[in-house]
Amino acid sequence: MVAPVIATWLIGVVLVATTPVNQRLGADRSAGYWLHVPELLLVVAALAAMLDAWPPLSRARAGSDWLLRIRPGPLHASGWAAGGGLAALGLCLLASGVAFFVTEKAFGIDSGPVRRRVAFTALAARPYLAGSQTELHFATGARQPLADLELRPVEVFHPDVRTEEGTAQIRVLADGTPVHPGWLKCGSGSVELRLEPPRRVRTLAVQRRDRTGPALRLTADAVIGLDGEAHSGLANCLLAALSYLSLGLLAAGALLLGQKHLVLPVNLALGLMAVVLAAMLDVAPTNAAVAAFARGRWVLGEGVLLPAARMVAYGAALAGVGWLLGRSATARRRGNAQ
Amino acid sequence: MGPVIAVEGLSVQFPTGFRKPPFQAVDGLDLEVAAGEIIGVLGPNGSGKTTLLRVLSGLLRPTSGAAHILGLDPCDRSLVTRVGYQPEGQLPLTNLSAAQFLAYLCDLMRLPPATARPASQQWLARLGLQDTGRKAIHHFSTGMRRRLALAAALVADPEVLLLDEPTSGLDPEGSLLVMEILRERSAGGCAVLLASHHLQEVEQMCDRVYLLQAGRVARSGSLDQLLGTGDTRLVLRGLDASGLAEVVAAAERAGGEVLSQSAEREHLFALFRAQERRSDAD
Repeated sequence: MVAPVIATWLIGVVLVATTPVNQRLGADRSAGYWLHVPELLLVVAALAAMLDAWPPLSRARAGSDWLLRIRPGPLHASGWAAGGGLAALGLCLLASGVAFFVTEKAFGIDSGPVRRRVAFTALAARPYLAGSQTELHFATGARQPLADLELRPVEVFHPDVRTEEGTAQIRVLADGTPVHPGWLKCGSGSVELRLEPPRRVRTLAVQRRDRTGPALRLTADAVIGLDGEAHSGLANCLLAALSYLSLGLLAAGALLLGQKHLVLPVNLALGLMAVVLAAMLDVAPTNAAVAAFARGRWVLGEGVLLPAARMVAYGAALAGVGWLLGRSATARRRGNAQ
Repeated sequence: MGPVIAVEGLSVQFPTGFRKPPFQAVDGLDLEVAAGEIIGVLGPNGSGKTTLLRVLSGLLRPTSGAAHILGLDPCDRSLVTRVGYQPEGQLPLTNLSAAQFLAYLCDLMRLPPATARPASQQWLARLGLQDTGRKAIHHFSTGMRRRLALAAALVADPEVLLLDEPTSGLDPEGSLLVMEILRERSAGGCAVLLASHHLQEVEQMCDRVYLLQAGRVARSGSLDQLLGTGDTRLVLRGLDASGLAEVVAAAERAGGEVLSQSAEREHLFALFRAQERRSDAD
């Protein structure tokens, strides 16, 4: 069971390893998307192996009478089944987390200490530093002390917006106090500012020096704070893996639903397709989790836990329905066979 | 002492779909098996043999009627180890080795490891599976799988054996071994109920048979009762044609009638055994 799972993951790793470095670390040096490949393959392989090797989930399979006789009844030994299931899921999670960790180390996408992100919300309806609007205000309800601020403004070139020569200059004030001396030159890209000493910040003001450079737009997530505490890298790997596991669980539920009516290869193919589609359509929080992981952000602070839990609940519900339908379908089939 | 297996008016119906009449798999079946008996259940496909065994193993609840094993309801948990059941078809968990499979079943049955381990090894050795080592079950031949299935049914040293096609897929040597083991268990007081299509083996092994047809008992009784004709078979050796004619004339003078006369021959099985012995000797 373990060998095919590891082999599948290795295929993913090789796929990533054989991709040219400039593609892997694209223009914004983000390797996040490539992290999806081994993880996707690993989770699918782990879940397929679990479906194959975990009898309580597949009571209609060949030879199930042997086990049903010893552990009969619709709910009998469900504690054992649940325990086994949790153990299997725990193993998947661990394997997935370790895979993230190894992939990160192997391909040099280590982005330093893992820190929690704190989002600031723009108070203006149109967060532009343009024309007469030379100051924007942002607020956060977070209570932890922040050690760094990160701004990602976008330069706006538009016929209706006045554009000056040169580069825009900005100034950042935290709770009314300047974070840095003087004005900072700032174009498209990110600006990182250190808060010395780390402190709690409630409001931020970003001012643009008049008549400098093009207009700037500060969209959602363009102004963030980073707390000073470094979190465990391995724990972050496991949290990122959790998002994939939730997606995998959804697929497992779908597989269980179809297993009575479809042959295993067709069912697995449909399950795999469901996983890929769900990942592409961002149904599960895999993109947010992997992107945060690749940027060295504490995944728990990215709001992925609730969507992941929702995916787990959907998967469990599908699995439950599949299990119950399977039992009645099996009884009918056996009846017809007599 | 009462029967070990007692079935009275047993009926089993299966739903076939919305607003469709149910399928009657077993219909008012009566059956008794005493300790030490080997009973064969015969019948065409769909006659209810497997359903009967599944009811007796506690896997199915009857629609009506009653079934008792060792005086208990077949679903009684204590019967898991007291009744050995070998279902028809494949084994589960075929990624395990034979020893691992038996250990897993023993663990599920909560057999103490001190007895389960030696019992597993003993039955694996007896059934010729001791050298399979770590080989996974899915690499086994059909015969090896059937022998392992029998080992799994026997590992808890049960008082009753319910066997669904125990010799199906076995070579003659394997069939002989299974029959030998069943006779030994029977001599030790174990009640054996087996469903089979192999009429010759049932004839060689069983004390009584039940012939099922459409879920009902069409005929039942001992083999002598069912197959006896009242005729006597005489096998002669060392007579030429004239000597044989004299014997026939003498029989007719005594009021008898010679119904058939043919050259005697061995069974194909004896030829198979002799060839195997020769191969072993070489």
